[in-house]
Amino acid sequence: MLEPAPADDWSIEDAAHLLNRAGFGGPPDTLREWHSLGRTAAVARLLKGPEAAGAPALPRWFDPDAYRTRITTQLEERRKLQASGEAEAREEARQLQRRHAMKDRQQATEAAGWWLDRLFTTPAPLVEKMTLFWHGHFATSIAKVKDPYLMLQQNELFRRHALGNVRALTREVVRDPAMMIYLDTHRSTRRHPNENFARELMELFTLGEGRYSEDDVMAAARAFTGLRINRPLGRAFFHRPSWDPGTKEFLGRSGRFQADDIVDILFAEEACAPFLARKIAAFFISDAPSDALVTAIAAEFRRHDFEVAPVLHTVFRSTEFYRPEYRRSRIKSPVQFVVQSRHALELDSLPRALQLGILQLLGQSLFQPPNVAGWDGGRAWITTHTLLARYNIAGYLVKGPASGFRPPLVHHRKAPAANNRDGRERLARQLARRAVADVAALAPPALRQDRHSLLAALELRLFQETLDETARRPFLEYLEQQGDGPPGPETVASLLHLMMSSPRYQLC
Amino acid sequence: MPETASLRTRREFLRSSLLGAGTACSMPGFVAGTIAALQHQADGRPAPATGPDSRILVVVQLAGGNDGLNTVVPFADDAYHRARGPLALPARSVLKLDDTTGLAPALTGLRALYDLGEAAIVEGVGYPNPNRSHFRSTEIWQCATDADAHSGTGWLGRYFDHACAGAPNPTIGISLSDQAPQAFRALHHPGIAMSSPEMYRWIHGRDSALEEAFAALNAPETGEPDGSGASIDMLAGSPSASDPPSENPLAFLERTALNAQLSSAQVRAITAKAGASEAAYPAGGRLAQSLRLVARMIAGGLPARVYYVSHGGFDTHHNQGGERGTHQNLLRQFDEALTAFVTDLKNKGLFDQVALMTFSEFGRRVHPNGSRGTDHGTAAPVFVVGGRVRGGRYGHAPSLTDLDRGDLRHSVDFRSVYASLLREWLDTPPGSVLGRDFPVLPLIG
Repeated sequence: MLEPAPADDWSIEDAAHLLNRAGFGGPPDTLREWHSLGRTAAVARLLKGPEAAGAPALPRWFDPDAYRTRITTQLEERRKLQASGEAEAREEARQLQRRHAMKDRQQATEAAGWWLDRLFTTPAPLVEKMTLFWHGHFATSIAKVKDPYLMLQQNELFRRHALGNVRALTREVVRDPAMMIYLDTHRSTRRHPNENFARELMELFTLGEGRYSEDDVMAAARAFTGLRINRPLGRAFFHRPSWDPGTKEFLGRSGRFQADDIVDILFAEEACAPFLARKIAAFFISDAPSDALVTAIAAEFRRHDFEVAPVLHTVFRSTEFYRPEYRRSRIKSPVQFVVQSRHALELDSLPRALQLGILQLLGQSLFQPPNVAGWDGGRAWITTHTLLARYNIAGYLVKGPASGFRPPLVHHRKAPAANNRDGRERLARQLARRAVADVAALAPPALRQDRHSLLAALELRLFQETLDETARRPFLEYLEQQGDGPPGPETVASLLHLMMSSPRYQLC
Repeated sequence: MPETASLRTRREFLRSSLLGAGTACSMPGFVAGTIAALQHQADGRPAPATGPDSRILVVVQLAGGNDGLNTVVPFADDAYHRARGPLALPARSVLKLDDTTGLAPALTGLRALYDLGEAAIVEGVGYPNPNRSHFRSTEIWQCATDADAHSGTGWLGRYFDHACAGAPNPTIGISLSDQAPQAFRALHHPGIAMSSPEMYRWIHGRDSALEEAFAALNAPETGEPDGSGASIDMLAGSPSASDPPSENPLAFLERTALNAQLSSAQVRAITAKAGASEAAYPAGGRLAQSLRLVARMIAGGLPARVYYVSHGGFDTHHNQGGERGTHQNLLRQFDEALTAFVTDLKNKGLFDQVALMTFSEFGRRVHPNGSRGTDHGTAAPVFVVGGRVRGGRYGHAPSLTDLDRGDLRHSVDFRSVYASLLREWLDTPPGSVLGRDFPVLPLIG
């Protein structure tokens, strides 16, 4: 099923399909560059792994020493105030807490903005795409964790293991402080084992619902007791006295299991490879992958002992992956929509506040999945409301504030620029300058001489295909109504908005 | 024949009416009339009732798993105090319904409605073989399946499909959220989701050529090169009435785009004239704001039969609080929003048209965990409020001594509540939505 495709059968549409699915697309020049590599070299380049070059700098506060100092100070403040016990001190404690919470929120926004820019600028798009996959798979939300440092630390964990071994990553996730806080493992004790993580580990991370019993959940919960967080270090440690040392009956085995034993047993289960394979297939190939495809990918997972890179290598080189029915068959996630639109419109310096606002509006705020099952994805992204929002956002990306749409903006500054008049005006100028596509550059005068050439070029840019006569007709009719001469930049801007305000543009 | 008989294609329909309303919101009567006429025209089936006699269901999701024991409180039961310890609500603080049971102290508004006979309290609502996963249990409630069954459609979506058969109504259900709840998933008529009416339109400047191209692009004439002969019943249904699971993503998007155009014009026309004599809602709080909007849409005569709003944060694994604290605060927000909504509806003379139902995916465990919170449990109470609701108590308070692995046993299947509302309130045979019959509670007077 996953036989490699012939090397010479490789079109620019194939390259675009690969780059859309394994990354976030790219402008026509990038597509041509990847196409010129040939399939084998293009896939190899995707799988080469992380490259630090060109990535935006991590936020300054993401530093172990700064974090330790901050947490230690916070803990000391709290202790001092609790010791004094006076009403005044309690009020002061509340004030301090509020200030810390505000700072946390600012940093969380900064972290999300940082990642979004990285998704756009990365020279290793597949690493970022898989990091996003793991974020949705091992979904953890800042809404509960409330610690941006730990969230970003988890993000770096996903990036480090993006193309690595799933079992090894899962072992790390067990003791990842953000996950521990999110699913309550850090509070789980031998006397009161908390089942939350144990259950989700089986239901959502490895096996799928119905592959285990309530007794298995309890047994795993007991094995996961004893994990604690050293908060100033931002690391987990094993606190043996809190661990339940008793014998656990787990999935037909019996022993004094600890955390890693549980993970290893889960990865030895028959259901694990197909479960992961289905999620990978749904993420990269088709919302509703066939059982045959899932079985084939599951076999690859087993053959490579749950290493991601060789599995994806096989997938991206296969004839199957490039089948026509898979092309433009997936609905873009909001992250895909934003990053791919940036590439398509070559918006190199889109303000982060705008990008974050768009994601919020479309329902995919980074570091804030709705629940531990992650985002539903697929058709769930699209309602009449989010579809209209996508159309309006497209207008804003093409024309800026002149489009008439007012997207929500998500700021990370302490005093949001929008709170005073100077700030508002500065922001408006910034958006008017940076949030607008350079239409004259995207469609230079020479290209505008012929309507069909213009449309063909914009179609490749936006849809990565050449439309047939019927599909092209609304765009052509619009151009024809604008008069006989070559269309001006404003007409092309409206045309771009129109092309993006279509069902077709939502697909990748 | 109404004047719309000449509107032969969706494209023509949009061009001539709804898009016009998009730039001139002052013609709600025309829009509403057009929609109603279209509904009547479609193969003779009665349109879903709109206007003063329509019956509307408002669903309030208490997301995260509301602690039923600290909502409807068995304050006289020693077993409750023994089990709950510091999380137990003392007898003096609860709003007593009788000698053994009381409402949480935060629920003063609900208590007043109960005293007026306008609130039904259904205790011990759950289902057999309860699932303690948020996502799975929410799905079970939303899709109204057995615990071991799955469904691609939600119970409200199936009701929409039933109610809209032959009479498409894109705004049959409205969810005040960015994403539609699973309960809205339907084969053909999923209703709409939106966070606010102002954002609910295509914003493009004032270019009529662009507008026309947009309409064509988003209401394509599938399979009919020049559009002649397309029938009106294609308005909001899937073009080929095909089974959406086999519908490809592009067709799905095209259908949604068409629904967006239709419902956008409708919602904006109707909310534009609302606003007068509105009751005071608590400032801030998503639930209160959502309910305010719902009241406006009901008052505006939008032909929605179901509104869906959500109130989150009930997953109280740690520091749940007792008399004060997280859980009571959540209940208070709910109670204040509910009270404002009911007052608003009463002022507008609409309370008899509305039934409001709460639900949560599960209750909490009887015994607290080690983090001063409670883990996922099972049965919990459901509230039904409305002018024609038969107030009182239904079901049985779950025993605190006869537990199922530490969890409460349910006495009422949640689908009995759905069945009651479907049959008694929405005039729909419950079996057609729920797949089989469930005992009906006399919730509607």
